[in-house]
Amino acid sequence: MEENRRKKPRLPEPPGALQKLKLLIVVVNRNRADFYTDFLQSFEVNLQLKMNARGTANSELLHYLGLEESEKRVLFALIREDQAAPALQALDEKFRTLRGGKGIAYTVPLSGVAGVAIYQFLSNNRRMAKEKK
Amino acid sequence: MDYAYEMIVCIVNDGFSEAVMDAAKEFGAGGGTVLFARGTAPQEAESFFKIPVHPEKELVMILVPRELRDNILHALYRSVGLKTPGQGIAFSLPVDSVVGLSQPGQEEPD
Repeated sequence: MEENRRKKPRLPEPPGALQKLKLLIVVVNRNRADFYTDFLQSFEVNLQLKMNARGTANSELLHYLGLEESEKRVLFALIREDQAAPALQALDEKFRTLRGGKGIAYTVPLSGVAGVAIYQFLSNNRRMAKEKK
Repeated sequence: MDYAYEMIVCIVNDGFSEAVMDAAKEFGAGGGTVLFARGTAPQEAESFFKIPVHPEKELVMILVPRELRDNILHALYRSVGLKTPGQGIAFSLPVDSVVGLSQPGQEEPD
């Protein structure tokens, strides 16, 4: 019995009920964008869209915010609801401590997703996907 | 549901993002982020509504406290709305949590 249990592949614990998704938007300096992309993947984010942008804050405000560089990159990431708070907390710490890594991040709740497979992919629900197979 | 912040998204013709920010700043917005985009619209709808769609667009995202939202949306409608050369549309989305916003005067670590 013990052996059987050990042989089973270990999948991440699924959330109790179906978790909602959120759109996580992160605005950072361009040269730090790749770092944040990799960083977000540790929060079970499977899909991220990156695009170039520029900031519009005036120089005085930029100075206040510590965002002198106006060449930005925006990351749109779809993240499971239970991962959103830890991800934001970790991002906040990076914004404060990483040199040149300041930015802002916020989440927007989603009201719908088209397709079960897409939901499984976006929420990284591997167990649900495996059971279906 | 009431959240403390809202994200205002304004999509305007190429070159009008400064006009968007000018209007928004007048009502208390701090800064925004400009993305470049291409717009599409069905040809038939363009001729029916007599609104030609210039494909080159700028998308401006502005994070604002909820209390400022209505004033800014009205300002955007007046200054860069569909009946102006900016041909802008603006809408807002609820933002349920934010990190990274600094308060003016707050000490920043080196």
